[in-house]
Amino acid sequence: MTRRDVLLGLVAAGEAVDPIRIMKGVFLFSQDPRVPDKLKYGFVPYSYGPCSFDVYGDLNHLVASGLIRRISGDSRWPTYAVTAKGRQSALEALTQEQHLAPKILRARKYVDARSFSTLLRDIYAKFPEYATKSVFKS
Amino acid sequence: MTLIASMVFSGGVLIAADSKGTESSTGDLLQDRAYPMEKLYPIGGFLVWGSSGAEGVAQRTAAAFANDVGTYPGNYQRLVAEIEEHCRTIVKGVIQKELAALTIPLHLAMQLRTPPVGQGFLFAGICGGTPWLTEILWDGQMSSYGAGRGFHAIGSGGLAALTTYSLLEHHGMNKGPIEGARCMLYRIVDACIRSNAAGLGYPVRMWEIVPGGSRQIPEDELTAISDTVGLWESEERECLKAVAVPAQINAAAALAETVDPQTL
Repeated sequence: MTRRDVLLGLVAAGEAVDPIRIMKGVFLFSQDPRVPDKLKYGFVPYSYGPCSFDVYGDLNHLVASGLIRRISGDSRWPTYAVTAKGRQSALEALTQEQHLAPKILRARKYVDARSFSTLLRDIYAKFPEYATKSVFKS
Repeated sequence: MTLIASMVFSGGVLIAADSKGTESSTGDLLQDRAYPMEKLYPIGGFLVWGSSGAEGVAQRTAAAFANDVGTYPGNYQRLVAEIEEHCRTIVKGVIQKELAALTIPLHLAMQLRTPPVGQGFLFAGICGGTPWLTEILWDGQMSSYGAGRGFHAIGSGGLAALTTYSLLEHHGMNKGPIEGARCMLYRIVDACIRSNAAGLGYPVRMWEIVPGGSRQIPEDELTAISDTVGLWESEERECLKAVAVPAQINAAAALAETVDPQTL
């Protein structure tokens, strides 16, 4: 299993999802101390809180591999949805590391349940060290 | 068709551009002859510039600067006014050569706007901790914007960028740290590209010049900035919803308008 499989698993764990929620979901997953380091993205504080620029590159890679598809909508950013091939690939990867599946699902549920502002506020409250460069500050 | 926009913030200066090159020698179908190109050029570690007008003139200007900074790097480590004047001298040299190479009279070139007529240059730099931002035009006119407005834009998208800047200025993101300034400048250039798709094109390119030196912001980082701008727009929509008149009040007002006061 690789970091990209984690990303794929997060996208596959629900309906089409925007890159903000993907970024925050992967961040929450990476904060779990029981997750092996090789599956974690490195995050830095950036303009909307914790950000890993590698996530963008890997999303593009997953799209190019036909595992997820990019859906353009009315808003500035696209959403990402898993393809049939991607769902199969995610299942195979998670079969190898079954104990990680609930963690990915929990992270996805957390980000799906919140509006953008609530999501950022909750993450900033929990991880203030990643909020230092945010442009969204009270 | 070009947009070069630059903005001073509390810790330095940013300069951004669209990336659409157009080929005019093959006819007027600019849309069909468009190609992506880099429009920003660094000089040394503390100065970046961009040009609107003919790409060839920009290329020869870039070569002149590259040659000059390689030979006399000290020319770019002086006071702001001296660096500005030096840049004007280099630009002037290139423009004079271009004018001398014209095969038509100058008055006709001006009428037809044949390059280098109309060529514009925007320089953004930092000197002794002071950010500066200066426009130099093909006819030698030079204007400094760093200490005043702190924003300027040139090219076919310049006016749209100045308008967009005015619309966003109240957010004050150019008065604070670099994170907000990046988002504001990105939003300006992005809005101009989206509203004027025939003349400007993606991707947005951006450089930041701070006391530690200049750096081109990599593509993945620009994606994160774009996402932040998306969040900013989303929060604006939510903010308007929060202050909107509740539906029941609207309904009561509509009902009141249908009642004749005489019957009360």
